[in-house]
Amino acid sequence: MTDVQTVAGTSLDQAKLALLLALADDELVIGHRHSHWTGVAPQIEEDLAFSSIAQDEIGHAVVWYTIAADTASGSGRAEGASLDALGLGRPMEGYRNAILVERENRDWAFTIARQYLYDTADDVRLEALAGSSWLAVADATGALRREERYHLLHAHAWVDRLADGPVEARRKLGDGLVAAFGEALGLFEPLPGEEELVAEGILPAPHAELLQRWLDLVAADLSRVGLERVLEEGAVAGEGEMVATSSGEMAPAEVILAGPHVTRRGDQWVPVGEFRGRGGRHGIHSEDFPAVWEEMTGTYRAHPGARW
Amino acid sequence: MRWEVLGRRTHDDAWTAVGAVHAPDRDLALLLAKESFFRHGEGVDLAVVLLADIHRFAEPELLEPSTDKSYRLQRGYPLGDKRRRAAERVQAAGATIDRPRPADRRARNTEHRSREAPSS
Repeated sequence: MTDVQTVAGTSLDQAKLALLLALADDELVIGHRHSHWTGVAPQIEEDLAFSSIAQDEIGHAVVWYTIAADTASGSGRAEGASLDALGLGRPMEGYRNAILVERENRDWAFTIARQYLYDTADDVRLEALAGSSWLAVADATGALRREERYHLLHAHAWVDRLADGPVEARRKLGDGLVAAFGEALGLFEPLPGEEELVAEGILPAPHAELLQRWLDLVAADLSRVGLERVLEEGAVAGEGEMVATSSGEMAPAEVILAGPHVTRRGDQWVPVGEFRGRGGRHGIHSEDFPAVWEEMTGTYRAHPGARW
Repeated sequence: MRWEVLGRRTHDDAWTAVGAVHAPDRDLALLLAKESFFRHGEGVDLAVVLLADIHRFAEPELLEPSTDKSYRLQRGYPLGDKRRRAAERVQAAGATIDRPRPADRRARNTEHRSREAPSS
């Protein structure tokens, strides 16, 4: 199997691949997690809507994997890197999704909280990538953002209504947001090679800047629904027990992604501190990842190279 | 709350009922209706209406015709015998019908019906 991540290439090639895998793996894994609600969502109409969102996200992953495969094979270094191999054929540490998206669904409130935080972040980065100097990437954002528009409407519809009560719904939503918030910051963990991507205009703004844009949006929403406690209580990124690789070794404590946290400065909530250690963008995952990786890639690994 | 879902397949089509969703308010009903009935490009327009806002005709039994109305319908005029007799006469005269049937019978019938509709 061709492992596009290990093929030799310029550092810019590697950085571009890191960007695409971060985008694609986030979508693939959260789509897979969302799909676990199929058949058991709170209501039949919501079951359809949420399953459809799950399929949308996996479709978005395919868009990014396609650009990755084209890029890799176009430059003659990853012949035959099929989409299946790229999407489903990598070992655990090859996945570059943020830890947030691999977390178990827990309950509906956590699921909605995560969907809201994630899709808001996805919209921020797609909006930025619309201005990318890499035209294949910039062109892809249009169609994706049209579907993301629905995802955002869906997330806001649920957040607004759960926040409105009754008391138990509001409490559960708040708890779900608190639980997801810290690791949502990890969506903005700088990519390997980020400086080069920014210098080339491929990533039009560094993740630190995207994080602030996201935080502005989230803070405004949470303030509107009276859930600012989420910002106050939200844990720092990288909380939780980490496992490192498919070889089963635990990640040493010093490499686990941590920080920043957020604080209020005047009217604005701002991140304080830098990311330390390494998280999903470097292939470091949580204890929730092996099970979802096993399930997601099991069929492919049992029949590698099969045509469907 | 139950909402009836309406859709239009193209901008030239009239609204048709496509199904129903349960939702606590209008906005959520619209959001859920989109994914329930319009996931595969089924239409260009979507609307919901609260079931309670649909006013039913109070005496549906009046919708059933109480006397024979077959004379208002094409099927009320059996043409089979007439056709058979005509065919026999054609055959007896040693003639054949050499012109094929018009190609698009369905379109012709539709046109015919819509022309007749107002008077029926």
